[in-house]
Amino acid sequence: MIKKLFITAVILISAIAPSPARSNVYIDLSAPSERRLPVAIREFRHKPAQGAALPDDASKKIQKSLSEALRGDLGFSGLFTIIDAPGEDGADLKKCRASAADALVAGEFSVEKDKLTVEVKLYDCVGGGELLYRRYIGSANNPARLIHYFADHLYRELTGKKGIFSTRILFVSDRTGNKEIYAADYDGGNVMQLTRNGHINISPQWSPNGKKVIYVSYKSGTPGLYMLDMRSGSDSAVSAKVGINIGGRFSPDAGRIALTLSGEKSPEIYILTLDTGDYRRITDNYAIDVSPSWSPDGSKIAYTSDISGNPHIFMVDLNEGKPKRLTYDGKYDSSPAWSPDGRSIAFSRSNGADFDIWVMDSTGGNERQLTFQGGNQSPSWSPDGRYIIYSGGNGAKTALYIMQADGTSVRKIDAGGGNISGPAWSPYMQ
Amino acid sequence: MKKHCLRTLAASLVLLGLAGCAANNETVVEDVSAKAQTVQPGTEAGKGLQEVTVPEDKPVMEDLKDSSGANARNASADSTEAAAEQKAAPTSPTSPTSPTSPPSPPSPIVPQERSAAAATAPPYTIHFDFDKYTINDGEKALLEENARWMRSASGIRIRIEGHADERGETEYNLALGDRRARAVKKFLEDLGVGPERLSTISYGEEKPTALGHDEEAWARNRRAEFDTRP
Repeated sequence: MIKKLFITAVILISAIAPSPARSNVYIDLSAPSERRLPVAIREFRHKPAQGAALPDDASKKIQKSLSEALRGDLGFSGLFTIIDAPGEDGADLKKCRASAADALVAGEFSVEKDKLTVEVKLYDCVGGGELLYRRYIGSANNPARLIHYFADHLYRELTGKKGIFSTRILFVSDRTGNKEIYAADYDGGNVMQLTRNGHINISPQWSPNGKKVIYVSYKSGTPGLYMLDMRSGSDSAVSAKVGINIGGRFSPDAGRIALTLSGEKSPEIYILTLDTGDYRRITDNYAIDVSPSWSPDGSKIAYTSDISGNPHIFMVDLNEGKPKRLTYDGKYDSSPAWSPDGRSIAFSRSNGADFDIWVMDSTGGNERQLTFQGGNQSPSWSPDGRYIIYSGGNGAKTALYIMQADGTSVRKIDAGGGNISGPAWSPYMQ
Repeated sequence: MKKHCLRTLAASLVLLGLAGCAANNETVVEDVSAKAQTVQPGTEAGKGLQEVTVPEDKPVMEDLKDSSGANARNASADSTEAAAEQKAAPTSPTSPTSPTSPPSPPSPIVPQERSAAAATAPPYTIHFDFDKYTINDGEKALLEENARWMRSASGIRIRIEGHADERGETEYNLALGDRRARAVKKFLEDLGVGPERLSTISYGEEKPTALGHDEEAWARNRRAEFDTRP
């Protein structure tokens, strides 16, 4: 079986031999397998910076953070078995060859003031040689962040695909007593509060490059759409028209925002062109039209409409302009989320009682229920399309959950206190 | 067994004339350098150490709005927004003794208990069915009383707040609250209340009056309230 897998990989590689871009794929993600690649992790070593010895406890703390983050990332992927590697000096590769592992991660770190430097090598224990040798420089207050970057590179090296470990999530929490917007690493760590205005703040969404966040806030009294620059911290109103200005989603080319305005009439989908400030109306009826989701190629928008009496998922081709109904079952279908590959749309559905996450083909049909506990809403895809994050929990407390896109491997994400809702998964961060 | 396979793979790769591990690294550096300000010392042949600067996500702290609604950020960013915030401040429903109460209401109607259907004088809160914004026959009588009261109290302006229960999606519920508030506004206008005296806002599911998670609480939360201090 294992042999076969690798032979397949070699054949695949042969087929694309002229391209030097990727070569040895150790894990073929397109051929799901029970087998996990055994990876040995050597304890990260502290290499004291010149003239700046780190106290033992501080060193231990960073060591622990690095190790836990790496184990967390590799464990999350479900593709690896982690083996403790002996921590002796030198001859890593030799040790690695003698161990049961197929790959070895060995790293060391140093700290200068707030600057953390981590040097990591990834060895191929079997074929021999270094697959990666990288130095990461970041904040000593956030060792996990450096590891997330490395984990992306390791994942890429061993699977040929981009990793999602450096991605971030946005969410809403009422932990301060009112709803504010927060960002965190994909695993819920490194939480950062983005708004603190004491009003209602909801519906955060990323810009396509992950550098800006749009969200709905009542900070000026009525629900308006705002944009926050994550690097500079500058915050500005994007749309503050009469009525509601909600549910903004950046177009894939970042030049436009689809949103719902109610104006003097009913809630309709519009597209706001950011350069010109022009609004183009997309839906025109007397129903509720909300929660636009762009197709990855920017040519279509899926949305929720109650034009048929109760909420269902519709889709409009922006060139043709004629809405097409996608869902018929369910009493309350909402929150469409187009998958990164464009083939599927995740959404939440209630058949009268509780809500669960479903997925269907983006042309409609082939509906599959992914969650069954009830109380699950607001699906958002990871940029590689392998995972869906959503908010779950009936009644008293809501929290975030991540599952694989087929509904398996559900895990709860600890992103701090309060009721947590409205997750949005970032694009790739590197 | 496994090792054998991996070694076979490595050998195959070499035979195929593909890049080895080291060269392989060099191809990866491009996508890293593009976004993470990477430099590549790579002095050691065959190893290719690559340096990655991990961007530190700055803590972003915006609009630290003090009670006056004005601060440096607001002043510099968007003057209309700052003005709007100042204007919005007195409407906070948590300040029942607001000095901007209407001058001479016909009866002491500042609603102390804005929540339940237990109000004994207009304006009465009205309620809706799940996912509906049509006004039930049973609620029409209450709205007629509200309209009568408004006609008699000519100085009063009202903001109609549309609310939804917690079920369903946040955004849909915001739209639903918007529809409910507008439906009530239209109804009052049809009964002769001047449109200039009526405004609407939706709070969706964001301001429940009953905190339970059962049908009784939901029924109380699907409502339109009347704010006499807009």
